[in-house]
Amino acid sequence: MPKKPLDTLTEPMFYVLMALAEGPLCGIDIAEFIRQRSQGQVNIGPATLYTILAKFEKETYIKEIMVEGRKRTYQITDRGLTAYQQEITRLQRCLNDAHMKGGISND
Amino acid sequence: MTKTVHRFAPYPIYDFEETTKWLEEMAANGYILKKYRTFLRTASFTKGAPQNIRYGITPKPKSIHRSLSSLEELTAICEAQGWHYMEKIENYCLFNTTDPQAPDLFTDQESYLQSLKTILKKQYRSVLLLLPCLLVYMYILCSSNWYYIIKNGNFFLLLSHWMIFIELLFTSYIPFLMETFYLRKYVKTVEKGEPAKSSKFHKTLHKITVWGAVFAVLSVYICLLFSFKQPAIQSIAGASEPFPFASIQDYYLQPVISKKDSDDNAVNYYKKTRSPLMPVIFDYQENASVHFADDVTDDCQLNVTYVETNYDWLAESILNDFKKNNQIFFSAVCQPLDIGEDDIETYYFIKNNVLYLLQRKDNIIVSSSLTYYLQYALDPEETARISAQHLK
Repeated sequence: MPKKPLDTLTEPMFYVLMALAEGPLCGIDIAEFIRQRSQGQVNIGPATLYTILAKFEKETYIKEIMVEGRKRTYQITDRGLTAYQQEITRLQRCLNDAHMKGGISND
Repeated sequence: MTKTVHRFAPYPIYDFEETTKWLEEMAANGYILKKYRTFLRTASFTKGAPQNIRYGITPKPKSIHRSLSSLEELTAICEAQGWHYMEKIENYCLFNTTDPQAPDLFTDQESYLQSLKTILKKQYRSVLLLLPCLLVYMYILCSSNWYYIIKNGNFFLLLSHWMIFIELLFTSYIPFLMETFYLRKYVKTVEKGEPAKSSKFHKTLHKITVWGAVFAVLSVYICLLFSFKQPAIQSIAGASEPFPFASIQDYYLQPVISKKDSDDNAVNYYKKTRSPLMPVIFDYQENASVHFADDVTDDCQLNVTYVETNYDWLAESILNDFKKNNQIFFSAVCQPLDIGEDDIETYYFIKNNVLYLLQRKDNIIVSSSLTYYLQYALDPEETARISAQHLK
């Protein structure tokens, strides 16, 4: 029986999936990716990152593919990718709603 | 020479925010954390120059991988972001950093809450696992033949066992139970986003732990001291008695069993009243052992407890001890206990209307050593009758 997916992804969770959607990475590289991609706007603490990785692995959003020294490399699963895409859609819809309500145009 | 200072932690460790804030304040005042002990919540500090050190606490990660331990992975991630692993404190890991640019260990409430819930689950599990252990100990204390021990004046021996139980309860179980309760409350508070009110709870917990432990430890030792000062009981083993410092006679010779006391037969009665705390084997010294067991003989219906040892010097010392205490020894003509051998040298003696037998024979156990049986009859009526016969 498939597990119930996480209701919503928090900002750090979303960024972790974003990093892994680009390719397999270890925890240290994920933190670095997020820092660079968000231009330092999002900084995930190591314990937060570790908690998210452990939770995602439990929820089968990601899986371990390699261990090198003290680094464990993770890969996003189809389930994780679906959750990530659903979150993008949700955020997009939120943005669209916000633009419509305020009458803000993208042009 | 560096000076070490010990302080009680004012906050429970699961309150990461307050605990780390306290440690940081101590470091700013020149007290650098050396060791944190969860038992009685004490922390050791080295006095030195004030430093700007940041501390961080995380729950100890659960190892689910065989390839790389979760703790190693966590420490690697932390080190990459400027945090150094200090030590593991029960269910928690302590980190520190001097880098002001290093991000906090937890940067969002969700993950902090998630880790607290993980600890809470562990606490629940431990509370449930510890409970049966305490219940078993309590059952032993309640169901044993302590009645006989008290009857024979060694009330403090029983009391010391109860004190050990209370000590376990106050220093381990109750604090653990309360910590779980407060942690649950704390998690709820964090979940609601309210400010935590942990210090008040912690003070109560701390008081119970400290005073409970002090009271119980003192009581155990006082009881054992009084147990020593009981009226002298003849010991068959000399001064080197094992814990809890009661003589063997306390356990085996004094509770004389009378058939009048019970409708059951003597052996059932004896088994029913025998404490599981009573050791079956006492190791005395230099690998010498004395084995206690009980039996009922068919021939004379004596309920006996016998002692066997593979060491002649030990058997001799037991025998000499009886002689020294002016107990009566006499050689037996007949043998009330038939153990199917002819070359048995048997001695009988009487003390407090109880017949004691010392039977000595060669190679009774499959070994090259000698085996000695020291047997105590525990039915006073039967033993009085038989001893009267033998005394004639």
